[in-house]
Amino acid sequence: MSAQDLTGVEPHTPAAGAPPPGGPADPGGPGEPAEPGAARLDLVEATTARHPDVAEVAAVLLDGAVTAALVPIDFASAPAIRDHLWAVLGDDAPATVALLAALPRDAAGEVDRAELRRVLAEDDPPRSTFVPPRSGRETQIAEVLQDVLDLPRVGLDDDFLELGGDSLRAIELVNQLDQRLGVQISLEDVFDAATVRKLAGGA
Amino acid sequence: MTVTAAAVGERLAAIAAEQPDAAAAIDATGSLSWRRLAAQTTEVAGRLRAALPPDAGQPVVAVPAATTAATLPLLLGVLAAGLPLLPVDPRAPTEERDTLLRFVARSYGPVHVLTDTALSAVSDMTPGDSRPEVGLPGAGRRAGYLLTSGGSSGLIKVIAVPGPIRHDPRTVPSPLLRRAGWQSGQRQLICGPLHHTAPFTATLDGILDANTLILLPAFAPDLLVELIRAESVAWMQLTPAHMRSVVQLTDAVPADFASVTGVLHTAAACDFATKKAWIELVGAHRIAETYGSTEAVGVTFARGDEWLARPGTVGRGFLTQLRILDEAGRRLPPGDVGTVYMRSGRMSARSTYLGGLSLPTTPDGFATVGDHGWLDEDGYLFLTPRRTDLINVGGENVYPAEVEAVLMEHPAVADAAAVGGADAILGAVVHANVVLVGPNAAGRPELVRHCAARLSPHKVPRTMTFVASVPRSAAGKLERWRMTGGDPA
Repeated sequence: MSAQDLTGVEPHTPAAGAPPPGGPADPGGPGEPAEPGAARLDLVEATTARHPDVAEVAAVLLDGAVTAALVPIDFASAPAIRDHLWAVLGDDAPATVALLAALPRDAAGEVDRAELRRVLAEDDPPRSTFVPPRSGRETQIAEVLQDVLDLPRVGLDDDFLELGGDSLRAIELVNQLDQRLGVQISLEDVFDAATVRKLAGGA
Repeated sequence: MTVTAAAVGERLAAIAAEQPDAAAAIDATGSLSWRRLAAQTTEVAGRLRAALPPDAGQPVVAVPAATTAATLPLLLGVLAAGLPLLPVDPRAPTEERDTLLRFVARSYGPVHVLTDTALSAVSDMTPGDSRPEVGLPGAGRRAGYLLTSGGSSGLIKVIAVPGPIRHDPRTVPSPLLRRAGWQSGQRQLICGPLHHTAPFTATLDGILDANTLILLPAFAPDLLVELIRAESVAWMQLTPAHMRSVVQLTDAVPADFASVTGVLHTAAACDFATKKAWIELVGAHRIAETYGSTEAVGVTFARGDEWLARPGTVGRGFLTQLRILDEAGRRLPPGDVGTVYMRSGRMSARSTYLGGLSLPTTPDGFATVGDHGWLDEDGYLFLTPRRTDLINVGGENVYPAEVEAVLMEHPAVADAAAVGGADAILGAVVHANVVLVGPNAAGRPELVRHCAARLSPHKVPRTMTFVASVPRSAAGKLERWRMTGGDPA
């Protein structure tokens, strides 16, 4: 975590009592030259904010990668928004999309990015990071999911429901897994083991 | 939407062409053939189109929905005409029904009431020009049908299920019904009020799936058992109250249920003795229970053999993910009691409330109707006792606030609190604790008559205690949890 890279997007003075972002309370880390700068965080925020499901968003660096933390208008699918940003921004897309009920704010009403990083690191909000399938079997199962859901890619930990799955597609998935890979699962399994990782592990 | 007309109308015509003289529905008055059902439905749809031309918009058509064969062409005719259907309680006192229709008219637009003899506009209930269509499923998309759920004083819940209604062999019957032993073309018993979600959707699915419906207009346990045997009923959906009364009030034996391939029970949690007795009667593999909500947030499912392995469970999520969350929205581990959240095919249209009501929802789309419970290590859900702002009378939700409001309209009543009282058959009944304005200001019979004139029968207090005061917090909020349900002890 190298918060000094973020000073450009945190011009405000934090409220008294709150630890200053990137200040002495933050253990920080050695500067890593390849890390994205403020311009990329601004781009991610501006693009994410235009998504119809998004009420507000803040992008921060977490372990050297960009996380877009957003508050949905009602509710949202983290992998769907993640892949929407991937399609629009390509390499500039955030690695992770996290969903929060509210963004932490300081007394001045500004997004408290230090607190946001703490929430993301410690409170385990719903989030999605694209993890490519590793083995041939995982790749095969991911391809079946891609076909059934008509998506360009499906990651190892993407949830079937969050990818837009419903009961009709679940039935089709059960049939296709059986026909193409000889994997036999029940309809309930699709919702229980709703990711490529679990489907590959349990099959 | 002519597509809708084609969908329901065409499906009925197709079944009628295949088996014109077979029975579509059987009730105490006789049997209704598919030919006649299709013809009557077409006739009703034609009447509606003539009376409500396209430039009149798409008004809601309310149908007092008695559980009889004669009701079916009315319900199906509205759907075939592509109009939003609102089945309403035929037994509701006029005042209660008018309150409901006014509410729907305010939030949805003009309402007409269709009976087998007349179509009457609820014109004086329709407000002026500015009528926002609150919470409709998708802009410009009309509801297939509307269902009402409970309704405390001034707070009626109306669920709009998106239309158009059509027969899709991939979704009728639903995977849940298939899992519960449903077979297309079966003989199916309908024994609940058709304005309720479960009996209504079972009736609609049954017709679209070419089942023969055997309709029981008023529930009587011995009649139920007799009909199952006489009509060789294969499939039925029951409430625990129905099941309890069969166990306690009849001498039913397994032979009476020889034709049965599936029983699905819903609504309230079922007591252990009743559940075990039914497993004996029909076999563990032929009875299942489901827990869910009108709001279509998700459902659980447990077959009898799963229940025997985990007595008391309401099942695992069926095409539904479950989460138990604490007050702060944090996920709780197996064994810990919290609020039950569910999520199902949420990216497709979720049923939508009218009137801007919505359920507590997490940012990633899990929603709750407020029930509490816990999950075991294998993901089976166990519910803990219901919250106190809802009384489940034989599967019908009663909001105590609605009963209290009616009681307090009576000049002799100073304060009132409605709570659930134990009942061997219904599980719970409404018990009222009443504070009178003075000694002997009114008697129980008078207050019960007062309620019966304004409330549906299941909402009327079955028992009543006169008390000096009811527990209220410093802020004046009623603390129902402090009260018992009128136990004589």
